[in-house]
Amino acid sequence: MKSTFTKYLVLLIISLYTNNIIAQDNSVKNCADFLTSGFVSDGQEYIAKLDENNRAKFYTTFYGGSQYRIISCSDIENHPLILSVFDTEKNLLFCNKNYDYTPFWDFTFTSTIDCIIELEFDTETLLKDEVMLLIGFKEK
Amino acid sequence: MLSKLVKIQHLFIFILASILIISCKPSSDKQENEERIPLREIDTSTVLLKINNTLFTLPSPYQATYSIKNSDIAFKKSLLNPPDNVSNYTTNFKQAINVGIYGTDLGYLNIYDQVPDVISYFTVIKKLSQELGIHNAIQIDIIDKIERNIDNQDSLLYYLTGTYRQFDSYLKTNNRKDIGVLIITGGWIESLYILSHTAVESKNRQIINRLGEQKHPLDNLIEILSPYYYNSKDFSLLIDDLVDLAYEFDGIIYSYTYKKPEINPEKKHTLVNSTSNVIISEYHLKTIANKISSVRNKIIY
Repeated sequence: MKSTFTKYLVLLIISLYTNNIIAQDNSVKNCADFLTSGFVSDGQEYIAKLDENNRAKFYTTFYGGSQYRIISCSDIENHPLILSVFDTEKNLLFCNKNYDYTPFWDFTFTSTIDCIIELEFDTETLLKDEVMLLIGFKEK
Repeated sequence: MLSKLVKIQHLFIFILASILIISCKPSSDKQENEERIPLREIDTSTVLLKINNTLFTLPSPYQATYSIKNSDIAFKKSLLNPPDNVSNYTTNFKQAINVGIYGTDLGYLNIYDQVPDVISYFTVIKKLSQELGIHNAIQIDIIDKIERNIDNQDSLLYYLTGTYRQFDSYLKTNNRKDIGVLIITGGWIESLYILSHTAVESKNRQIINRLGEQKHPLDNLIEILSPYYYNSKDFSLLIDDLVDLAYEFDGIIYSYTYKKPEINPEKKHTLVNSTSNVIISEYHLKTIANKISSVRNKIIY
């Protein structure tokens, strides 16, 4: 009896843990909550409407020697938000598709480079909504 | 008796698990029946944004001042806009752009631990934000936190950058994007002024490079400002000056080489190994420093 109870308890904990990860709240309202671990905001909130391909682009410069946290947020549910970072030659530097569509990712740049950040929903349905990008930096 | 107890226990676990799973499920059914209301007005502040759904961003001005401190260059107070100048700013244009200028100065002072000056610059920013009617954007407790942490470098930077993010959000929500754009512009102009004069005086290679790296941020700033060109004479003169400055940046040689990045999934981290190189002549360095001084003088006096 004790072992059955333990089994259920383990299953319950796993279920709770998994649900917590899925429910990671990247809503626009709570986007700044991901600015943790010593990252501070660059002072702006970048909000863009999605185009006909459900995509928004952000042109930015990252300084060499600095650490950055890129955070992607949206109030659209049921569709995962794809976060991709390219250099200006369109080389892919990162995409969250392979990492459970995580809403944030940290970067360290060895040199200063200009990048294009794309936020996108991979769906045929036209989503007339907005997405938010936050950029945090850390110098130490 | 024992089997009854086991059944009750199974039932209890089943109910508990069901409650947990239901409570964790996103409320999609409910959402589908409700009309989606955007949390704020969609930012369509630039023509380019409307057409291409593209935004142009600028690095934080604090990062430029960090690079000066990291190069072991001494603090220089004369580079900053004196707080006494605040009485000169009677128009919204000047008030907004100087909120940006003083913000960068405050970041510079904080990085160099200049606590007494931090207080006077923070007071000036508070005064200008009241005159602009944007002080309501800041949560009251943030002002308390800033005042309590005035001598705590890291905490102050955290609350300060948070304050400017709240200004940005408030101005976008309240259809005062022109004011928000001016604050960003002032912050960038001041960081370029401090960088360029430090570069000319110190001849430090890292600082000269950081100055040269402002080419794309300047292009982005012009993109952000251009929809406001006909807003007022002040806007058009400012944009003309920045376009003129951008011509000097065209003389800077910038090269880039892609290298495969290293991804560490456990740390949710990517090391971007690509390299870039900046070549800037002494002539361009001095010309940029002189031109940015001229732009800044029109703003602070």
